[in-house]
Amino acid sequence: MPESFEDFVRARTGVLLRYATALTCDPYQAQDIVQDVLLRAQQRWSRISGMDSPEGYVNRMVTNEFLSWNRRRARTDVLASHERMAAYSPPVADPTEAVDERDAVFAGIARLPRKQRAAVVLRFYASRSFAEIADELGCAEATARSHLSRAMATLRDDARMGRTAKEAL
Amino acid sequence: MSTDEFEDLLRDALRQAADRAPGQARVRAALARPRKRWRWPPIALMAAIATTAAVVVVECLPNGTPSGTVGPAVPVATSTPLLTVLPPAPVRTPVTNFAPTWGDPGWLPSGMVETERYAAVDGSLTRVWSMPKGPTRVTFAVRQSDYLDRPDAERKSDPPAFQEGGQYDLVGGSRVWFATDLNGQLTRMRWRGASNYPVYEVTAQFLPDTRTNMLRVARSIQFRDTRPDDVEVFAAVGLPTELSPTGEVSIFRDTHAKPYLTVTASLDGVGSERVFVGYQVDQPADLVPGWQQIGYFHYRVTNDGPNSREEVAWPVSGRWLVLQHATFETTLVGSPRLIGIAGRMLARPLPDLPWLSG
Repeated sequence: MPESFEDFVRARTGVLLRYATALTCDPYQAQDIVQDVLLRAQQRWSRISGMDSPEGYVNRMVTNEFLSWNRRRARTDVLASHERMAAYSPPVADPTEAVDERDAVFAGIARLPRKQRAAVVLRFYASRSFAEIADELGCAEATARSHLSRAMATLRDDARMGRTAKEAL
Repeated sequence: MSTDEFEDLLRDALRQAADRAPGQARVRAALARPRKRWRWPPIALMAAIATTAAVVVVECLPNGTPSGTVGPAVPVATSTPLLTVLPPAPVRTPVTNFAPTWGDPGWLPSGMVETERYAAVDGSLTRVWSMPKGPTRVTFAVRQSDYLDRPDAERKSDPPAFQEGGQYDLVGGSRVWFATDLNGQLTRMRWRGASNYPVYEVTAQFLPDTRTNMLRVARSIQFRDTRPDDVEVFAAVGLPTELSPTGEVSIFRDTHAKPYLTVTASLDGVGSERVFVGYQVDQPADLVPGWQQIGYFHYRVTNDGPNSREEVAWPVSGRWLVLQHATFETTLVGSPRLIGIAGRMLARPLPDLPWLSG
């Protein structure tokens, strides 16, 4: 018997929010995306619930929403209280090099073009194969590999580019 | 660093990013609220197309000059490119509650040029300067909403993150708050004017000597009591009553350094039914294949699973207005509604914007 929408929301909302946050690099935009997607899924649940993988379909809706045009302005500005921002960004810098490195990599991911960013998240967060990434992004497998390859090259150069930009000023 | 080590680093970074995911409460609450949704019977399609083809309602006015006259709608032949008729339905401008104050920074890092302006639905205004070559961005915003959770937070709480050694920075006599976003990429400072409202904000990305330079920008701002005339551009597109602007009205330079105006709106107040309005110089690049001519309008339905959308594009005053409606239906048969909305859009020529051509 197909899962009810309420059960689906109970089981999957947290997972979708985590995926969307990794994808958007922005918890507020992630919340917007997941909310919009679930509202749409709710309306068409009778059909989605009959699919082989409702989870996969809704996950793809999240990916598409992230890639879609109507979000392109939303990421430029996020309104939040200082308390909330402080919660996401501790006041005291972490002294360990590993944390700095990880944060630098994450900052680099946040600057990637959307499809490249989605490919990186699907590969290294969702552990998807190239074929699955291609399916999720609606492109050929070779294109998915190309997205990932370019993203990795950019991320490796990112720290150096940041230093170069600073020195140029 | 080896490939494996680098990939492990990526996994760690993404896992930590996911750990910052927000709670589920807001999403669950939104799902629990009743929603309304529109449906059109197929028979309405032809009726609406016929009506819209006959009554097109785009108003073309001289630069910045409001029209005080209202006349009867004039039928427009389908092959006629000239639109001179007036709207039969109430039309409102996207942003009516402009910020009461505005300001110009007297100092910015050398080489920065203004590239974007935004006006939010609540009346907040934002200006953006960018370095032509490089990632540096600086913004100045006048915020109409008090999005600091506690209005008197400055007086009661501990010094915020960036305040060091108990030293409080002041701008115009008001204490300044600093904060960084998720990964230290974006730094913001906020302060209040003498009346505690609105909130002023400067943000910076990849700005050397961030704190010092942001304070210098903030302290150099010359405030004005009235907005400059060129902000009028934000009211250059009027929306029919079905569309409610939900976010920012934006203007930024396109590839020709020409102003490109966008509005994001909800349909019938349902937040998830988004309509994106673009007022641009170029016609949609792929206008020929896949589009059909319906009266004066170019119309296209793209069925692409959850990314399905319908679009209407039409020329106005030497520009193109484009409506995009993401329906997230797997199969669309064509809705008359978007064409009907397009028929009641109001557009005025955009004035020259010196800050965009710099």
